Amino acid sequence: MKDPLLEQVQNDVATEQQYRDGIPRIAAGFFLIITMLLQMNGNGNTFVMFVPLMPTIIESLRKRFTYPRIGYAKVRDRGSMRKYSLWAVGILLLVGAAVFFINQVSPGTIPQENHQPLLLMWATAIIVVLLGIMVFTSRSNIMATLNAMGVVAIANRFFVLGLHRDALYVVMIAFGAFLLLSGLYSLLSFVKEYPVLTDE
Amino acid sequence: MNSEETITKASVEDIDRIIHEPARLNIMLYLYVVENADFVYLLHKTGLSKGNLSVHLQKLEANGYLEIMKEFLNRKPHTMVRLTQRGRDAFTAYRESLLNILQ
Repeated sequence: MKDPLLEQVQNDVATEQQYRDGIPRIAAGFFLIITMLLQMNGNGNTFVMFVPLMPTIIESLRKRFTYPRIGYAKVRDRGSMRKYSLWAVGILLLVGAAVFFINQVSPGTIPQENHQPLLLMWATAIIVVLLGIMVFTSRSNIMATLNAMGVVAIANRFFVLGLHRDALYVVMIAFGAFLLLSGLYSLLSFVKEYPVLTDE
Repeated sequence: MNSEETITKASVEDIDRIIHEPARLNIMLYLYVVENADFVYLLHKTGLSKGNLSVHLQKLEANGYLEIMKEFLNRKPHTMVRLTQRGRDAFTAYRESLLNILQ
């Protein structure tokens, strides 16, 4: 699709269908809070079971709030956006591999007690980008990548400063709460703006 | 009448009148940018009334431009619509002929 007008219409439809309701942000915030709470309580790896639940949560919220108002449309695949997101995942994988390599070459660079939280942050960053690929709009991809970079930056900052890891979890919970609240605000505005429409 | 005028006149007459109607053009445009969509999506995007939208959809379906699939979701009727390949080709041809006339 080379026509700029058609591309603009497609972007508008994709943004309205997949971003404007704030539901992906609600899901991402919820996921981040649950993950960090589990980590604080020593159940760090159980967050994995929430990953397959994410699409179900997003879809059930959309059935309740989004589709009755603006309808459902399956947005056409846009190769360039997918490529951009895959680059983001690739860079995150490389960062992870580099950290692993540095730790193998000179053991002790990253203290042992920081291994698991660092792995968790890295996995969270990957999942946030994957969520961006799933919801699939240019804006959500940019948001997801910025969020992922934020997660990695916050984690590194804490380890460099040598702060207690619980403080890191509290910051991540605050970050999750910010995503959740901003998503809820978007959802409320969306519900106010669009009345419920019905089929024939 | 020179050759340029002949081409322009011929192009205007070639315009697909099924698509050229504003409501149907809107429907075709919003279906062109998606794989498929439901009736509520088209109601929302076009701003047409339900009856009006149904009539235009039937006309486009009768010309083979789109496919309408009716189903029941939670005992409520749910209509899915998608452009056929013929509909996509017709929309592309319409767009090209309109651009040719305007250039």
